[in-house]
Amino acid sequence: MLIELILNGLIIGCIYALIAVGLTLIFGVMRIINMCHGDLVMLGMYASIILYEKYSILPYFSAILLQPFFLLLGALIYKLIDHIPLKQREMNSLILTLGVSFVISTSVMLIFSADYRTVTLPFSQEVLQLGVIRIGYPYVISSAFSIVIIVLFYYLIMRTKIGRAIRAVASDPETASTLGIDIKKISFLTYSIGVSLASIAGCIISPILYAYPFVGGIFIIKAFVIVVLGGMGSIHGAFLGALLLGVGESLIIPYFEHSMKDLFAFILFILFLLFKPTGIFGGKSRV
Amino acid sequence: MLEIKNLEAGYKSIVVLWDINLHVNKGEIVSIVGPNGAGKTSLIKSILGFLDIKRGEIKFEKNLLNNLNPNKIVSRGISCVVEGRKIFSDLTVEDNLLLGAYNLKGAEVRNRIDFVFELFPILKERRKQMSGTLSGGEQQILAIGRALMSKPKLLILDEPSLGLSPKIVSLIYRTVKQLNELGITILLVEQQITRALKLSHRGYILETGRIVKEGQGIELLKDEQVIGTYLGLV
Ligand SMILES: Nc1ncnc2c1ncn2[C@@H]1O[C@H](COP(=O)(O)OP(=O)(O)OP(=O)(O)O)[C@@H](O)[C@H]1O
Ligand SMILES: [Mg+2]
Repeated sequence: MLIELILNGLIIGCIYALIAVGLTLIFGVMRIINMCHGDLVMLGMYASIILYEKYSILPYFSAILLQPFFLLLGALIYKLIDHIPLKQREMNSLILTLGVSFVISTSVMLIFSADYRTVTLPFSQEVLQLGVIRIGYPYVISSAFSIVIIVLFYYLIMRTKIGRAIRAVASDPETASTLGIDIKKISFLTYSIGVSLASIAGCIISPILYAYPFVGGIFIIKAFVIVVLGGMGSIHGAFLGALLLGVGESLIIPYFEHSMKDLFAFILFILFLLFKPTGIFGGKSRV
Repeated sequence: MLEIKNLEAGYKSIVVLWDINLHVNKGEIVSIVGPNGAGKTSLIKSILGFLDIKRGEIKFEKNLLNNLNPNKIVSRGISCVVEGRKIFSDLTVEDNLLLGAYNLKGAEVRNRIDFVFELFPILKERRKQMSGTLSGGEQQILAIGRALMSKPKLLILDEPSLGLSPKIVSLIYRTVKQLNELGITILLVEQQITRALKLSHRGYILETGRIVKEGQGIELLKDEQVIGTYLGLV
């Protein structure tokens, strides 16, 4: 049913948004592409699966509980990036974070094997019936959760002093520093926020999608597509792009094999790069 | 208050400032004038910590500023209206002003914003507007307002009148005088040499990276060489 498909697409889109918005924010502020972003999502998935299997902790709680761990990991990766001199940052950070990505994904493979894993919650098969529309409970909860996070994130960026400083640094770091803003501190905060969002996305998506060690590759590419769709560095663009991709993917499922779903993102990506490389918003304003 | 001694500075290995000696006393208005490419902006940027200092020292209130990060330098009480305004055009007027008070605490921020709104009522009117949609003059006023938000002891202005109508220029000059009377020390970079020097207690003339003359503002305007090179052309 069309409405159901669109709704499902929007739900997945909300979770994609958590991933993409962090990637775009890190790019906007630090001018780096965080290649290990998808692997942080993957780690969130595995961590929440383990916590559920071992201690029956629901992934939604793990999303919060695991934050200290992920923030520490994020700080560690940030330290590595921060060691690269600014002039060489653009290229070298790409290689560095790609290296981190390999280390994370292969470590997970060595520890947990390459098998597909998922969380089967007690209510995994139950559906919410709204008139004629039926949505699985894990979808309902995950999307509600991600909407709450998105609202909090939006508040942080648009209404707080830190958020204002983040936007200022993204738009003009030199001028921001002449106002007394510590660029390094803001970069670190931004990176932490991005890592946090990615790990939360991983936790709440684990009851919906299969986890495997290299699933991060899919997430990063989708996040790229979204970021390009919305215009590099634009937060609003990333939200819109995420919803668009989610709905687009969802709509093609009935017509193609399920495995074609991921192909959609790539085709969209190529089309946009060819015909509208600045994204939907024309790449005017950043963040 | 500000003291620069034997400064040699530049961008990486390219030196653009040689043997600069300059000081600004508390309560003064001091201007730096000179032709395009003389190094005026570079001199300001070296005070703010953006240039590589090869030799010499920059002191503010007796503390060495060399090798400090820009954000640390401005936290000492220096504020700058940089060349070309550099407002955040995709942020609102109010957000821009609040960013100027980044290092102040809540209650003080309110005081400052009231002060700036009183000085420039237009900013109060436009506070919810995206800064990029302001006119050029309004943007310059915003840049000055933002610089004042941090409650600076020393206010540096780099060509605040560039490309603005006479009315706005007059407003800016009146404001600079008024701010100075309120106790803010001013370092002004200008190409409008007559106007700047008339307002200033002292002035420096910068040419190809060196200070070629210094003196009382009005005296400099009477200097034959200055008249010959600058005023003759205007
Ligand atoms: N980022 C930079 N890298 C290398 N050289 C630079 C840089 N910025 C400025 N310069 C050089 O430094 C010299 C002084 O330039 P500066 O902008 O300080 O002059 P100015 O006096 O402010 O000129 P204007 O009146 O046009 O603003 C020029 O020769 C310029 O080419
Ligand atoms: Mg200049």
